[in-house]
Amino acid sequence: MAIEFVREPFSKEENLACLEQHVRDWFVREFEELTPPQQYSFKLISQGKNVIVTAPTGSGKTLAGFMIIISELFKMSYAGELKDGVYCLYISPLKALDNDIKKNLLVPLTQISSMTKSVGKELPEIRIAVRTGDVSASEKQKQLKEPPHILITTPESTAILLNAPKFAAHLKAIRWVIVDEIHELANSKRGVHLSLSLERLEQLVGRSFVRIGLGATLHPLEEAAKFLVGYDDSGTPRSCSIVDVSWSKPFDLQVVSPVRDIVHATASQLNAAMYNLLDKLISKHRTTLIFTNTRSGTERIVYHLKRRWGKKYTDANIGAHHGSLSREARLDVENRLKQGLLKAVVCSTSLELGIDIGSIDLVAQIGSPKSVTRAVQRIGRSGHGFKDVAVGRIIVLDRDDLVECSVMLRCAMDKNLDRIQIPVNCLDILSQHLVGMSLSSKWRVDEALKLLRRSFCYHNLSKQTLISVLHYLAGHYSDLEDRKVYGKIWFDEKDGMFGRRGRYTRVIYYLNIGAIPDEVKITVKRRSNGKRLGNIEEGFLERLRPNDIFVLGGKLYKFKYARGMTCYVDEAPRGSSPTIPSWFSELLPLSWELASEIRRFRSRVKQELDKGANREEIVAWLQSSLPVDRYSAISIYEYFKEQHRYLDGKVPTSDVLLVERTHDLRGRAFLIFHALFGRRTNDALSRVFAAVLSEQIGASVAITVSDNGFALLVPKNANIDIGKLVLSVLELDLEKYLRDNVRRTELMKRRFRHCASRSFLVLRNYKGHEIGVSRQQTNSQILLSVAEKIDPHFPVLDETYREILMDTMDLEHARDVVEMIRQGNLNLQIVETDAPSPFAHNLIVLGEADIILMKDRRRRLLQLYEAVMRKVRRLESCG
Amino acid sequence: MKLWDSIEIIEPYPAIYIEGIDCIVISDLHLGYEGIMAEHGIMMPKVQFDEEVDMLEAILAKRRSRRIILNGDIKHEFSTTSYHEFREVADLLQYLARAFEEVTIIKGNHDNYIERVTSRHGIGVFGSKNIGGFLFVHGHKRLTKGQSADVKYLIIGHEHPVMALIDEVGAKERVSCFLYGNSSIGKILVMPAFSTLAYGSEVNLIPQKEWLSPILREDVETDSLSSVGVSLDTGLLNFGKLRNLRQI
Repeated sequence: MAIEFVREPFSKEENLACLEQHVRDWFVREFEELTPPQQYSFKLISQGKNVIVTAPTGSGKTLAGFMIIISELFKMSYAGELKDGVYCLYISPLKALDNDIKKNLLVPLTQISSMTKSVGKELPEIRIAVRTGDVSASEKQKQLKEPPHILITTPESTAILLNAPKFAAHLKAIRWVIVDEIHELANSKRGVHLSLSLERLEQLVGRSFVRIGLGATLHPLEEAAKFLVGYDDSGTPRSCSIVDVSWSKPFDLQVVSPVRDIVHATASQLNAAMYNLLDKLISKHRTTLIFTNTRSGTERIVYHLKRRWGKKYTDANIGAHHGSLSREARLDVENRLKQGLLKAVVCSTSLELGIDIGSIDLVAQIGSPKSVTRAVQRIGRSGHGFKDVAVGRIIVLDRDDLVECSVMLRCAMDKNLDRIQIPVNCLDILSQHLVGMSLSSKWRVDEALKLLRRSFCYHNLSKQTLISVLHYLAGHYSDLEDRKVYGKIWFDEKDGMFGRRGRYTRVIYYLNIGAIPDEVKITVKRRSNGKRLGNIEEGFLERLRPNDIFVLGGKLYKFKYARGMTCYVDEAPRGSSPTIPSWFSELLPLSWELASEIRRFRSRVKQELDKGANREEIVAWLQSSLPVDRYSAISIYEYFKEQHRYLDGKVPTSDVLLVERTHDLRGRAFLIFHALFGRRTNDALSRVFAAVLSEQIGASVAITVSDNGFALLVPKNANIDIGKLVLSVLELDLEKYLRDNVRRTELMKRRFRHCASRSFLVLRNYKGHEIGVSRQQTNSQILLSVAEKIDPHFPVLDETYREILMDTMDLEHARDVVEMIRQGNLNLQIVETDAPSPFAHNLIVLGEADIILMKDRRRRLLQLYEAVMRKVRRLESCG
Repeated sequence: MKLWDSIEIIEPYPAIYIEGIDCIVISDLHLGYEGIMAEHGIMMPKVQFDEEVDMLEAILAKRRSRRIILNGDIKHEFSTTSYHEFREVADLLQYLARAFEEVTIIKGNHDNYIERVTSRHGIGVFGSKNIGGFLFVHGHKRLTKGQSADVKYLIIGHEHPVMALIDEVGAKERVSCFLYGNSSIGKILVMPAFSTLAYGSEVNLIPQKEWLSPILREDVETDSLSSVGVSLDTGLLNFGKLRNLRQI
């Protein structure tokens, strides 16, 4: 009894023997053989074992999960034992997927039913239904009277059902729970939310049920398994069988460069070449699925394909698919895909998940997908049957992407995946569930703690932390009269009990449940005529400074000022370039493992260059060791050669931390750290270095962060001692220091608002009103200061720090890097350049920026005041 | 620091003392802000009342006076006074009634129904009041002909002026400030908000037509106003004329 891999499949006979006779007859009639996941799951599930199955698209995962369940339901039906109740709960993160699953399951259900009828048996119907926020009230009533035996739903609806006063009773019949797309749920707060729902469900049902996890590839599978099954009360993980058949489809992978020399091609050359390449690829395949990472990218690609080859590509045979499109538009594309009517579909990331969408025989990715696992998952969407080859081409448009994707696909071929990271001890999700739990009954704190600890995500929750969250939910931070407003539970610490309170608490729970935060939308208007130009997110506005230039809807605008929920801009003068990147929603970060591989690769290339190997030798070596075409190999060579030449051989390698002191074209002074550790780790490192530097030079420092390094923007004539800076960093308590410095950043304000939302501190929907206008008058800065004044360990505050340090940034690996420096495994190397070296270009132009404010507010204010007055005096003296 | 030799800023607080008529003036307290936020789904625990009382204590420790004028927006809500504000306003007025001989309230746009509270404490509520040439009015409406007569100094609130300071690397700080200068009615002083929560107008960044007060939009050349920042961290910061600050 443990978490174990099942490496040997069972025989066809053994598997089929588990099925009820008519079900078996149906299956044998429909399918010649069992697919790889089915060869394990039938037997395992029939034995009542928990299973997690990872397999690529088109490998019959749905039936692998459901077949035995359908079989058991038919058995019960014959024996007259099929009662009114939910026997199987299926949970997926996508509503669209829910509808598809229902349609797909109706096929065996109706066909097997008609088979049994034809042999003279009339059986009670096996009911199946979908339950999400989209389901109508009349449908919900129907489900209450005639509960579906198979209920298909989402994580959020599961939590709501747990508290549905009448419906919850039907859940007590549950014997199987299937969690689909587990690779997507496990690394987000939605998964955390689900893990607690599962434990509450098990408590409600009163006995354990079989847990089945289905998903695409992920790593490490033992962690994912523990996430699915949780722990028993003695602290041991419950048992789970792991079936990993995600490599059963052969891969054909390659990185393609549209031009011969990516390093020196102009943007328009690159663009034109990319479209030619796309056209070539699409023409050679039946249906191509193209991933672009952004919604605007998706629209652009479809538009230009239709424009350039108007006869070849029309609305009839290519389509766009992304989250901003209407449901009808998306459904239309999905249906046409399934029918094989589309030559190409372009999406942002939206078609990454979901059931088989027809006969895609090529997946093309534009730009880097940022992790080996994601690349494999996306490319795995191609190839309809489990025997088809999954063909993937990554089209790269810049040199860092080129190197990154080449190493990435090499890792994919070696089955070398990056690690998943499951968030733990999230206090905001905990708050939601505690309120939910209190709504159904009174609880003893100790009993509640036992339940919570069964979840993988709260396995180490301390009683003290639980108590502080209970105090928060009970409104104990406010004085007595106000608890009527703020208290959502009552909590008696002495008796160790809590329960519900408040007339509106149930409504608040229902309407505000979930892990997906709202972003407040700011309207952008043209200053001259007030014309509406589009929206940006509040977080982005917080970063804008007067005269910053950004992109919106493909055009450049200059920010002038903001008033409430509106910001006013002018059109940017001809020839300007953006001073701040416009995509604000978090881009996927490069994983730590992949970053390490790329560092190792850099060392290898440097080795070859140092040896004096010539161009042809190196290009040939690159082509043989990486899945790249010739153009790509040449560009990789050129990129490294340039850096090598520019810095006199100092190419950053795995054992070197190269720090470059330089200026950009605007004359701004930078310290560039060539730290290829992935954005999450660099986020932490950059802030630490920036904060220490800020103290040393007595001024604020701005930072730009990317996967490949970070840059510190410093005042022009600052006196900086880099060696001293590094030594100071080595002496710090990293976590404490980082916490203190994160406090003063824009990120803190934004994340605080998200956690506040999830913790029911700030509600999306209250007393039936959608919240909007009030936000005008309260900004996150104020909310944040208030929370701190209440208690520096206010749970919402603590969760914000935890989320930032652990989920957004990577404190663990930042510590590893500092340790590497301390041990001498990473040696400091300093260079000075007049202009940034090739490896640094992308960092300065595209990196995501933030400001590290100088610690002492008083000094900071005085400095700002001085700076302003200096400029004023200069103006006055000029007359 | 003294303005025009007759108005003293009680450093470093958003409050003034006028010796000629022996009174302290503060404006825009917005009590009950958190309660209204809670009704709108933002469950911010209450801090403002205590902070404002602390500031008042500190002000009184520096400067004694017979009377105090609250220049509008004592409370926050627009509609019927809710319980939260009711209690906070009552508590504050009780405190003020003990510390001052005379308490006067100028009605602001958020002060509807405030008489329900003030009537219990014998406190006068006015749309405007002219004491010895000092005209106190909230600033959310332009002056009537009658109000404009015999005015040497016009003192308003409503705007919540704030200076937005941005440095070379883009760091941003906001500082509440006094604005003072000339208007078509007389010398004008715009008070900073006493409230620590209510948002303000970034007066060095936004154009005059976007300012909140119609008096400032129509009867003043805002570029000619001077600005003095108040901060508990640094004390007073004299910025000089807005005209210069806008250009940088």
